[in-house]
Amino acid sequence: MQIQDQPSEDYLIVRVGTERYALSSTRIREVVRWRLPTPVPGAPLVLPGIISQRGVVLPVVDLRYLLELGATEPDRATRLVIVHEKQIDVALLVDSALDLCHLTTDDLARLPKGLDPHRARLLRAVAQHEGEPLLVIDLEALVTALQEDA
Amino acid sequence: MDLSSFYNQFREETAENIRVLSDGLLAIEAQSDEQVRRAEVDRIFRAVHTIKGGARMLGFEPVARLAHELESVLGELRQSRRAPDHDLAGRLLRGGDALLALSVAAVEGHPATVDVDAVIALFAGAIPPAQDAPAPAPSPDPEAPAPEAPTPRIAGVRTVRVRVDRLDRMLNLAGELMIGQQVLANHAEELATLRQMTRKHERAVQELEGELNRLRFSAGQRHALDQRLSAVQGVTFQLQNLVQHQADQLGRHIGQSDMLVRDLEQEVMAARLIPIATIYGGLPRVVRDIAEGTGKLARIELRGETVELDRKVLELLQDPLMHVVRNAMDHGIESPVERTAAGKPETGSIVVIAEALGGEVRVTIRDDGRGMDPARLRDRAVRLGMLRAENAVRMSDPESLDLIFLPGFSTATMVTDISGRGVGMDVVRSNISELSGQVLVESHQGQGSLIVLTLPLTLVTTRVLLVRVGQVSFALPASSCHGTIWVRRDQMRSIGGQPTVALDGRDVVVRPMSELLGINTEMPLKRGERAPALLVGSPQRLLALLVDALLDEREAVVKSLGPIFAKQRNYSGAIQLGDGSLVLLLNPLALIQSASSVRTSTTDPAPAPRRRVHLLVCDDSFTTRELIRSILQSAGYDVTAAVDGADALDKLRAQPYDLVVSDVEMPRVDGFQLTERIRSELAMHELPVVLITSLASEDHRRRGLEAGAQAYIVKSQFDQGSLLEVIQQLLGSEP
Repeated sequence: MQIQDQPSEDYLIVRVGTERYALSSTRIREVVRWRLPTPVPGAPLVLPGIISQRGVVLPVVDLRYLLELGATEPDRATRLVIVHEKQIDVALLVDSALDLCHLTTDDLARLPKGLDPHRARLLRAVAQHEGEPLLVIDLEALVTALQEDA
Repeated sequence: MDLSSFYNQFREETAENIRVLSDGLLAIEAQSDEQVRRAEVDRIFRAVHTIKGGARMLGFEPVARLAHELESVLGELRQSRRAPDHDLAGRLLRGGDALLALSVAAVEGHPATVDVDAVIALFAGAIPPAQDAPAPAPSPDPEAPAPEAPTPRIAGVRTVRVRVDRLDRMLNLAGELMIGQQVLANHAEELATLRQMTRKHERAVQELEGELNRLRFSAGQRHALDQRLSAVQGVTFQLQNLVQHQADQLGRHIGQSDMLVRDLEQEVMAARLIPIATIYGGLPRVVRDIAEGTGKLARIELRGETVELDRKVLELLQDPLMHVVRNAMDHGIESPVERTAAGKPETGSIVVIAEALGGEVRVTIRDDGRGMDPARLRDRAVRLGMLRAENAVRMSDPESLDLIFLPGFSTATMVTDISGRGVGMDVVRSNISELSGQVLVESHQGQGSLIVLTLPLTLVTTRVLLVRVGQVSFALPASSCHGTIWVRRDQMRSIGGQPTVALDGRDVVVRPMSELLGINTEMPLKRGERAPALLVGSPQRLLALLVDALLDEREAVVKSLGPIFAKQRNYSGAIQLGDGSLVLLLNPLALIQSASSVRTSTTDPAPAPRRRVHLLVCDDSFTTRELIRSILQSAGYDVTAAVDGADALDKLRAQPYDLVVSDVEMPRVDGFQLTERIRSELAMHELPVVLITSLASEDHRRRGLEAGAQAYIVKSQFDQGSLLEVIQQLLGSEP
């Protein structure tokens, strides 16, 4: 099975909890400092609230809850990665934005079996980068999951 | 040659020509003046001819074939070889519908669902001779004004087609500018504060100067001081001038850009305005179809066609308007026999009036049918399980009319093709309130019903009320709020297990907003004597929503929360304040629905995690005080200590407590006096007071209770368990 049609792509590496994830840079609009969102009472924990970015209201999505990783208090490194996928803009809350990297199709491997299906559905592939594993997030699946669960 | 760029134009043109055809056919039926009729026939002939020409050019053969067929029938009408009877008009209308469907299918390039030959067959075969034609069916009113030919709205002005999403974007940007204005206004306020501070600064310098003048200095010192002082004064003067200048300039700038932004907003809005006549078009057809299907006779009169509304408003108004007219025909207008028996003219009348009133447009739909029977509506609601029988008895007639807006409520005993499918008035109301509009219903049995739809003219900004619930601000559309009241705790009455207050002789149910939103915060009435509440719902069924504070009323641009929050029905969007912060806009309709569902589905909402209970312990003996404090703290309460009654009163004034535990014998203010003064001076009638004393006599116990204490514990019988038990009982919960 071929995982990806394009030969190579740029990715943003972010830290969520203690793990490193990659987000396809073609979907990223901007990365901004964390700021306190306006809470939406009644919404699930994964949606801590809304922010306004350039006049558009965006839902903040706490990736740490979505990936079932422990959440810590936001600090100076906390970032909001604003992505555009399936005509929807969301602000992904990550613990920090680390680096940009370039991955080719050869760098990407299939997900290991036995991964928690809840998390596996949000992931597209696993890559080796600088000797460490890097999980590539499937943004389309993520937005779909949000629409279904929220 | 690539023709695709003409396709959309053809589709739009065809839709317009089909409208001319439908309107024209209906007008011909209702028209007795031969000349006017002839002119109308000419007009629809031309419309169909245009369709034929366009279809031929673009190679849409089936469309052209059908148009040709219609054209020839209309040609016969023109030459009076056929009579425009009711039956033929019906067939032509169906032909028009088929023509439109075929055109759309051809333009979009998918196969048509219409069988062209079958439609053409409608017009072939026996041509009824003209003299046999029956009189036009629904007897036309000779007084009725002839439907005007739609003349181009602004003749001579050059126009350009603009995509709707581009207009939407422009509207959004105009809204952004409005927010920008608020930011500027905030800056102006800050400048004003700065000005005040420079004045203060000037006064301080003057005072310093005065002070120095009273002191003795040598001539050299005096000279140096004067120099320094005049330097400071010089800077102060410059500072003041500069701030003043900046404030003036900013003020002028704000005033100017305010005007420009408003002009821009109006222009953008005007670009989106469309006359209501565009959605009136389908209504005569609806009336005619239903009349045909039911044997009723009715005439519809449309007024105020030139009233203009925002495109989005019109879009959302179309279905409700259609539905209300359908309902009027189906449920309101009686059969001719019934009408004659009731002494009414055989032909029923439905009048639709649109009028612009200030910033609003009011659309009134009036019929002269049988009206609604409040008792029947109540019966039906009870049968459908939407209303309890005992509540139905108490419900007033105007309130009963409101039942038609309940989802799934339909009074048609038989499900017909026309209405009575149980999707109806609830959709009407939700569509209209989505636009921050309102629906009112009035009905007189035997005389007819009146439905009034009130809509805002503009959608750029919405007037909102800002309220505070707990620590969070929320906005509500001002149009959804019928007013604000103060709810006093001592005026609340429980009726049928629901807290209510009396308002103009009616009982209005009171609910805390925090509970409906699921916010963990204290009830506004738990502490204070009174709390503000918003009146929402329909005038017939009001609900008072308690909030912590009313903050402001203002114009705001409402932004969508997007699809991720689609399931959060309590919110219809968010607004941005001048400082950039977002405030959620509540959807009162959804709130009311959740209010009623909470009541009916569960006996009690799950106990929300509470804030910790705060107790005040008052005893002049250090040992007793600390003993009681440690008992209560280890039981999980927050405890503050007071050294005597007077101290306790001070502490109670400064901060709210949930319960007071007090000794009786104390200096200054004793336990009895403390209790009395809590009730009289502080007016805390509900605050539980527990007295602990060594005075075991019955006389003292009575005195304590007379003073207003809830419990009296004698020290000799004192033990940890009984104290905690009493406190738990009084608070009605665990710590």
